[in-house]
Amino acid sequence: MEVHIKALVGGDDQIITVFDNINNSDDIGSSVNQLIIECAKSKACLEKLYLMFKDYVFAVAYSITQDYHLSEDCVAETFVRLTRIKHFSASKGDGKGFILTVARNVALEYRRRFKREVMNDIIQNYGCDDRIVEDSIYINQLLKVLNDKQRQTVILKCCADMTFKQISKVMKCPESTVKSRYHKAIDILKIKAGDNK
Amino acid sequence: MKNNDLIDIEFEKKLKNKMCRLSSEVNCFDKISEKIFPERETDYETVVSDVENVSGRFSISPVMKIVALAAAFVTCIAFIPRTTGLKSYISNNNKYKIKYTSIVSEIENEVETNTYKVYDMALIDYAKYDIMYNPLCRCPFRFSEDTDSRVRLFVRTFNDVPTNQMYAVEYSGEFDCSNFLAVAETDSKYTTEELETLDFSDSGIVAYAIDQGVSELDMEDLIENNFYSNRYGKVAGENGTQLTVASFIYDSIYKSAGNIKKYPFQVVYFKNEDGNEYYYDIIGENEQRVKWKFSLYPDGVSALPLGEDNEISMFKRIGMNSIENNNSSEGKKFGYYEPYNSEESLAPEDVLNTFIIGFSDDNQFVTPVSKECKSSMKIYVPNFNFMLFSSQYDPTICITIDETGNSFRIHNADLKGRGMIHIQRYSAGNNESDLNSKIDPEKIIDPSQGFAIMQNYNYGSDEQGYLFTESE
Repeated sequence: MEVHIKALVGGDDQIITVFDNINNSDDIGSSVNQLIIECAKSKACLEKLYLMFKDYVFAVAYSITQDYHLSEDCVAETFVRLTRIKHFSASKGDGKGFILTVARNVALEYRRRFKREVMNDIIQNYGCDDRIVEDSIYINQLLKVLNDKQRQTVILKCCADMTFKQISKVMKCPESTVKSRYHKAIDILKIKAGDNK
Repeated sequence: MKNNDLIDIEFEKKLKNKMCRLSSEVNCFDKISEKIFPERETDYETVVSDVENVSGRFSISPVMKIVALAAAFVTCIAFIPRTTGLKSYISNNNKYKIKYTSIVSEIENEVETNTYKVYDMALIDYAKYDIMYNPLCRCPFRFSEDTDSRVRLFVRTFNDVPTNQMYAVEYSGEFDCSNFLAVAETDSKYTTEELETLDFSDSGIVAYAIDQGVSELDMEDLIENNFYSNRYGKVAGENGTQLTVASFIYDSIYKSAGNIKKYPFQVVYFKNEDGNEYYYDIIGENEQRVKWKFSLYPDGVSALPLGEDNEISMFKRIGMNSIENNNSSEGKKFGYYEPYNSEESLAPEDVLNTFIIGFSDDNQFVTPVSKECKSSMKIYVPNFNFMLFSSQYDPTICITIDETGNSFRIHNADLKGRGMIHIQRYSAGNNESDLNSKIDPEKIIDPSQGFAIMQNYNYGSDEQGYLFTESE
């Protein structure tokens, strides 16, 4: 339960604290939609949007490209494209889902375009910070047993905090397919974890 | 909480942490904002405007410019007599707005009174794989990346056979008239009386197909003429790229020049094993048979894609070599398996399936959507494939359906359409064409015995080995 804390103050001290139920997910959703509409004109809105969704967009891009630098480019391209959107309805749209859909399309496009260049964890991360190399290799090794769609589903669920319903919209497939894909992926990862032990 | 759930949560947390650490290194906001909000060189601008002021030149403000343009436009509309061209533009626009409304009411009426097969899919799926939904026509709506709309395709059927009377609706949210974004209709319309006069007997269908100069055997000839088998037992194109090639039959009632017939359209499609683009052709058809007569937005503007196809369409039509029955002494190069008619295959449903053939995720291949087309689907393999050469007891091809995760196997016994095979020893000095002319008829074998023969013969290296050719 999400709560909003109200303090009633009397005299010099706070005398009682009241917990109110609130449902602010709609507010967040509509503010994201508003930010999407205004980001083309306002740098502050764009920055706000960037800070809110940079990590999610990166995760989506990484699940598809499996390449740190390409994913970084995807993040930049996604936000650039968001500023060029002409038809987005603030009242109807799901802002987060929309941003991640654009991110996914950008990543798929980049992967197609640069497929031949993404070859090897070591080569692609040459010259990078050790931590980046280490984390990239860890994630790639962990997820390499999954197929493309399973990998995207797992990342959207775990790293982008999306519900199955939202994932189904982004990946344009039924919710049941997403669920079965996710559980199958987790099963595969468990088997792999067992083998490693 | 179950132990398994704990593992799930732990795993999710670990993955999230690693990904967060990785993304925390990303900092490209400056790059983005530079691109979107390029900083103006204000000093330079000041200098220029100062110079202008010094010269005393009168400058028109942007507001004045807009007001002047608007005034000019109003003058044109009010005082210049309307030409016939302008009048026809306005009346055409109104005409198409009315047409849009009439198509919407026609769809409602038709769906209630006649039998329709209905497909519902995201616009992106239809725009990408339209040929798999209906090989006779392309997607009639423009696709843009920022849309989340869906398409409902209505195909009129008679005795469960589709016709070329079709409607398509692009909509968002619930399927309701108020949510329609665009509608489209084809040019063919049928009355029930017309359809009832059709000859649905097998002889009627075959007679018509023969009359058109097309038979089911032509499909096999087309495959033989256009594709090659490489040394790895894979289907290859002219430039040696490894391909996945399939075909299916789309039975349709078709109206042309007043004649209505049932006609089996034979579709061949293929893609590079690790590519995304598909190429297709319909046997005996020089152009797309079904054209959308109207595809309109509610304001009467055309909704058809600007080019011939949508930009994101995965299917490109190519003209394959014409059908020539040039059976040479080499015999047939290809056999096939029917993924929905094999020993282990799953019952077909009216959905788009993506096969992952083998164990590489890259080798994905989409299937036709309708059950009837799926049942006639054939995937071609060279007669000399790994199944013949494999040392396993029961070599198989594994197919996984990506959408469900279900998989099934194609066994040696599922391979069809193979002829008989010649085996002949060759060495580096001989070339294959020389050997074809020297095939020893006594060495003809049945391909199903291939494995046993491989056990008896030691399959050689590139320089020396056994040449396998085939005759019918």
